[in-house]
Amino acid sequence: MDRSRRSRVPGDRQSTRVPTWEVFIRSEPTDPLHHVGSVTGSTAEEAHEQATALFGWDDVDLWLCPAEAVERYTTRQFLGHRDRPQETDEPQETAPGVDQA
Amino acid sequence: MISISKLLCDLDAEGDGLRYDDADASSKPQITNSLQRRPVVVWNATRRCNLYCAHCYAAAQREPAPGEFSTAEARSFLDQLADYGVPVVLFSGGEPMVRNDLTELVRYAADIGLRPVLSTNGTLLTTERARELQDAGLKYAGISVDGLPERNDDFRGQEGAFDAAVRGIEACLETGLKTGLRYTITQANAPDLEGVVDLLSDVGLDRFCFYHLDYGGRGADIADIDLTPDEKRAAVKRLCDLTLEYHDRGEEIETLLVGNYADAGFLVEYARDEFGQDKAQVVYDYLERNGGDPTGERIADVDYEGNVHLTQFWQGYSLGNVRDRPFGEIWEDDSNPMLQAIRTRDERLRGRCQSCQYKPICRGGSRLRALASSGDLFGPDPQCYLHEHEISGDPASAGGAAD
Repeated sequence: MDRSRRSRVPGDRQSTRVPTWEVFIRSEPTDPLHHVGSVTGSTAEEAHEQATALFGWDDVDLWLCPAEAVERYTTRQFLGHRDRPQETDEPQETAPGVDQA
Repeated sequence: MISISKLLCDLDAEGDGLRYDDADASSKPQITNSLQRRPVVVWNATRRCNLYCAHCYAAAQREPAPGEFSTAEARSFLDQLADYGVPVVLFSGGEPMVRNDLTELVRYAADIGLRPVLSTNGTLLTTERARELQDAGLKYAGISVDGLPERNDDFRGQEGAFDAAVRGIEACLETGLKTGLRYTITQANAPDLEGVVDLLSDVGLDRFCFYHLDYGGRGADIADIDLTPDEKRAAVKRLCDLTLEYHDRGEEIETLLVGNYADAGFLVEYARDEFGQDKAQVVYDYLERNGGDPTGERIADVDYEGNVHLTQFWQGYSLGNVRDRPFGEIWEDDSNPMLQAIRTRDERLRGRCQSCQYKPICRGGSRLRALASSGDLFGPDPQCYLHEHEISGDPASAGGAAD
């Protein structure tokens, strides 16, 4: 796999009303930090509380990063990993529209 | 999802193979012929909704949200599900009917081997839309109603929502699309339960799914109007009685319970009281094959931004995002400690769950409710309504399920 061909992962991670935080834990002192998903929380303290209830039983370190601050790059292709669709990948800015019929 | 009508009245259904590994004994065409190995995936196709319901787990809004999948992205996401062998995708929301590419996506899902089903408030369903969706391959529409007209409209934040939902139900029935009711039981609407079943069965509906309130999204904000455990027990008993009454009259309604696996233990107790030990054993065996609460195993949720959740109600924690990694890879990642813990919860449960005789068919009920109410992920589900003697299996203090 050519890792120099990473592309930016699209998507807006700031759109939830409650901020999202990416969670990283280190289980043992010599372990690397490990991404274990994301939690929501209005503040870092609230997110820490959430994450601790889910993961922080015995972990040495627990890091939180605002999801909006994370730029993700990947070698994978989300779009068209089976067969690339014909249409353009324009976000539905006006759609989805309410069908009033 | 626990089928009262299957377990107590032997009513065949399309989900018998998927849910109970009982396809061979069923006369109905089956969703799958063998027990479910991959999760049913709820997809919140949009956050936008034309209503504003008090109990919405997805905290849907009237305005569109940035970050929703484009049509092309949605197709790629559906490809991921099909590649992983997901049997069913439930188009949910928000209100999925507000996506103007819904029919196209339903058709695409059906074409690649997924079974597309719909969860909707029904208010935007016309006969024409229902036919269009059915022609595209939609297999089922679950329509939410939460009480008789006044109470439902109050709950849903819009006058006329009840009548519009009934029109939606009628539109589906007219086209021959399999249709069911979704009803979330709370203190606010428990008194309407029988009236709604009577009214909608007169319209021709024969499938009723009753949801216990889970404490996610706006559902957490109204936890104070959740039924008490005793009220919950009474409501479930009334549903069992109602199902038997309908079947005794030859009206074969399908009734299902969702969101509280204390129901599993209760149904065994109920079957023992009503039909004897042999029937209770049959019910237990079915429920053991069913496997208890499906969180993180037989059910998954992907929100409108692509975040993967353990159930649709648990939107506050995400395992990862399908824009980063394919769904199957996220779901199979055993290095995730939360996923690992949830899947081995039998050995981690504490309190009354730890030694409960019904642990194999319940598996601790809702971990989300336990977490929300006590902060203890493996503490008891506060909405378990089983009595102590039922938990312990001690006949010395036994009464009946109706106690």
